[in-house]
Amino acid sequence: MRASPFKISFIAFCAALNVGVSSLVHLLKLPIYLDSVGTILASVLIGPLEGAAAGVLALLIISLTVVPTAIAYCATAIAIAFCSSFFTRFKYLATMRASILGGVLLGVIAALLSVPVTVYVFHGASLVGADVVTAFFHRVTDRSLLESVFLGGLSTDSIDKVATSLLCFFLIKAMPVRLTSHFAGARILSVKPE
Amino acid sequence: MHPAARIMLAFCFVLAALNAKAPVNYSIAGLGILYSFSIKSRSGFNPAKIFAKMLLFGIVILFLMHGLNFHTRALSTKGLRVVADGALRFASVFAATLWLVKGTTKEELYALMLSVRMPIAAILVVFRAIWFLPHIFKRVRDVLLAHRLRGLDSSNFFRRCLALAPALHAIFASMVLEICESSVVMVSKGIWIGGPKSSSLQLRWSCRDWIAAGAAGLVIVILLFKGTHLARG
Repeated sequence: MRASPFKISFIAFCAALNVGVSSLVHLLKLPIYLDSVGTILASVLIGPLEGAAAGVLALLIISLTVVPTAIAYCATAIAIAFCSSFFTRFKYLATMRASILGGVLLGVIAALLSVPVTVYVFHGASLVGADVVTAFFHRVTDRSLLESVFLGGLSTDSIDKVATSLLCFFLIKAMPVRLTSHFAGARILSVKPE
Repeated sequence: MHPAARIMLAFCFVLAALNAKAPVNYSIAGLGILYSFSIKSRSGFNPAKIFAKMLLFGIVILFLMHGLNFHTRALSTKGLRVVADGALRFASVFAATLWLVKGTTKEELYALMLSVRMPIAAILVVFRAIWFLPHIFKRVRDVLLAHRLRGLDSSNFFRRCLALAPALHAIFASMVLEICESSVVMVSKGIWIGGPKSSSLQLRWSCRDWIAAGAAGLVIVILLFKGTHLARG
C-alpha cells in the first residue's frame, strides 16, 4: 500500500504539535500539559495507528530533549490514540458535550495506565506537575503510594484531557477545507465545507 | 563511534548502574552523570541544563514523598533509601540519554536507520517531526507576541486559558503550508520509490566499536544470568 506523503507529513506535524503545544502551555504558565493534542487529532482525523505513531514519536522527542523518562509512558499515548479513535463512534469531537465526556474518560484511562509505571518504576515521581498533587495525597492525607499516584493522575489528567479534547474540537471546527478534505475522519465528524 | 555501539553502551550503562550492589551502583551512576554533563556536544544540541533541572525536581519530589515525614517532621531512614534508589534510576537514565543525545548527530541517526532497513516512511516521519519543531516553536513565539501586542490579557488563569485557543488555531492554520511543503519534500526524497535508500554518510564498524559492543554484550549477559534489580523489586 502506498503511503500518502500528506498524511505522513501530518503525522510528523502532529508529533511536533504535541511538543510545541507543551511549550506554549509552559510559556502561558498554565498548570496543564496538553501534550496529546496532536495524538488525538491524528487518531481522529486519520486513524488510531497513525495517532499512536504521532504520540510515541512525540514522547521519543520529549525523552531526548526534556524528560528522558517520558518514553516509559508510551502505552498511555497508544491507549489515548486508540480510545479517542473509538470514541468518534459516539460523536467525540463532533459535539461539545461528547468531547467533554470523552475527555474525562481519556483522563481516567491515562491515569490508570500511568500508575503502574510511576509507582513501580519511578517510586511515585513522574517528573510532571502532577507529582506535587501526588505528594500532597501521599504525605498529607496518608494514602498509599498507589492510591496517591492514581488520585494525583486522575485529578490532573481529567482536567488536562478535557481541555485537550475541547481544543481539538475547536481546531477541527475551524480547520480550513483545504486541510479537512484530505481526511476521512473529518467527514465522520461532519465538518462541513465553508 | 558507530551509533549502534553507542546505543548498546548506553543500554549497558543503565543496566549496570541499576544492577550493581551499593555503593558501586551509585558510583557508576555518579561517574556517568559527571562524564555526560562534562563532555562537549558533537550534535550541536545540549539539553544538560534542562536535564539537570528535571533530575533535581525528581529528587526533591521523591524526598517529599518518601524521605520526609510530615506528621513527625523527621527523616525516615527507609524512605531515604527509596529516595536514593529512585534518584539512581533517574540519574542513570538521564546520564545515558544525555550521552547519546550529545554524541549522536542527525546524519548518523539517519544512516543508522537506513542500515537497519527501517521503512523510508517511518524514517521520514521522524525527521520531518524534528524539522517541524523549530518552525512550531518560532510560530508559537510569533503568535504569542502578536497576541500580546494586540492586548492579550494574561492577568489570571482563566484569561490565559482563553488566550490559548485562538493562539493555537493561528499556529495550526499557519502550519498547513509547511505540511504541504513537507509532503512535496517526501515525494522528492523518494517515498514512493521502492528499494534501499542511500546516505552520504557511510557507517563502518571500527575495532573500537567491536570492543565496546562486545563488552556491552558481555555485561548484559552477566546481568541477565544474575537477575535484574528491577525484577527483584
